[in-house]
Amino acid sequence: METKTQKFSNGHSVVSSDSGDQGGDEFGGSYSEFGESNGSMDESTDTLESLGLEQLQESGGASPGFQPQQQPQQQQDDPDESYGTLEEFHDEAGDEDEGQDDYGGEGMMDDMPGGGGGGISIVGDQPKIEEAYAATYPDETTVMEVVIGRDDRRRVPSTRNFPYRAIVQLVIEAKNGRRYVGTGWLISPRTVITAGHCVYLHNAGGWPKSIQVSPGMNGNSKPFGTCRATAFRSVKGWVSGKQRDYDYGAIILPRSHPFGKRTGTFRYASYSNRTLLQKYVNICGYPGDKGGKHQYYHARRIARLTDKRLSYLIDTAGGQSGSPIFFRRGNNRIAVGIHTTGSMSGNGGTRINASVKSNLMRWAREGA
Amino acid sequence: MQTIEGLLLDPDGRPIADATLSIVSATAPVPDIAMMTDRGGRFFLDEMPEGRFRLRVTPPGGGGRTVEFTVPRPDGRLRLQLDR
Repeated sequence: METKTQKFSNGHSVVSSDSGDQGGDEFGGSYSEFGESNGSMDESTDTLESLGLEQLQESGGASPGFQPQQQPQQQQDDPDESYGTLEEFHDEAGDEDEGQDDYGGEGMMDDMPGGGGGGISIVGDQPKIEEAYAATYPDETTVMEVVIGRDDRRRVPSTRNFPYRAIVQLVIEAKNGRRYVGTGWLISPRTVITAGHCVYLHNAGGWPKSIQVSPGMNGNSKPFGTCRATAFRSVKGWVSGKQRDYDYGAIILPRSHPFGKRTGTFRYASYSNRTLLQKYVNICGYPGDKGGKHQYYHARRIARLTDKRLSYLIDTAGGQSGSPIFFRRGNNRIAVGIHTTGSMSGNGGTRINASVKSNLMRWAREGA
Repeated sequence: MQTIEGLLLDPDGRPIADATLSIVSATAPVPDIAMMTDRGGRFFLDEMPEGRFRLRVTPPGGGGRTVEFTVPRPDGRLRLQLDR
């Protein structure tokens, strides 16, 4: 697969895999350098409302006023229609009511069936390695957690409901044959947003050979089907610069699989620091330590941020790269970041700032 | 940074294909992507920073296991075998 680059003006310059059969490879117009302005968003969101159904249910509370699940609606043809007012993707399908029974009150906290039993051994020289490590890092007495402290993640029992059906499991087949599991989320009928390292793997051949995309996958059930995608997008800062600040990308699905029309889609927006630090946000994806085939979520406040990164004490594990970092406003789910990293000081993701948002808008149009 | 080449074996020493491996603890930032074993039971942990890690191994039939290891590794390899 060749790589096409769109005017290297900064790290957010779009880079594309070059697969000709997916449609959406053609870019219109040129890219100029984006401003990094935040704060132009409507910030009148009520804090309680922004907690969202997920957080309310996590804390055992009820969320009054939610109506039973409705069937997905057809996406509007022009996803750009509402940019002028809210500076976010405005998706009619995302306006549907989400039932209070999204989680059904089950609140599953257990490991996957069969998990946790038995043992495993490193064959070879582990004791020597442990000794060497202790000698090298004498003050290192704790292992910081990607799953931070107690594992508070909860399993999503029904992925047929919005927004969980708009979250997709990714099985990534790298060019060199290696396989990985990640997560993505739909922002238009054929556009899936994910981490840059899910669509461009620096140590596994670059652009993947293909990615299997399964919306709302729930164990062995794929309620919306699955498809193999071969058209990918990311930005120069990730593809050429390998910088974590630019770790985001997109998958353009084949024209035969406009999953977003059936699942609904996430909105996304760029918010000010003050607004983001006030919000509880959710991360929902497919953690590999739970088998990588079931959705789990967790919600907490954003702990720290920069212009390009968000940091939080939300539990995650390998497989959740690319998950949406989102909150609820009314009946909408607004993504503010893309989860990428487990870190000793808190897990982190790419912040949707004005530049990232502009690229997401561009990719959404490609997959409209 | 070190790329680790791993091998996952069942208690009888046979390779386990299609297992999912996920870092659940780390002393240094790592991409939150999960790895899968190939038909030969091989897997790769790309560009691991120096530190100590806890890896959750989930065979396709369930029955997850957790193992701790450190990076760098002298030979760049991590050979894992499930206990009976």
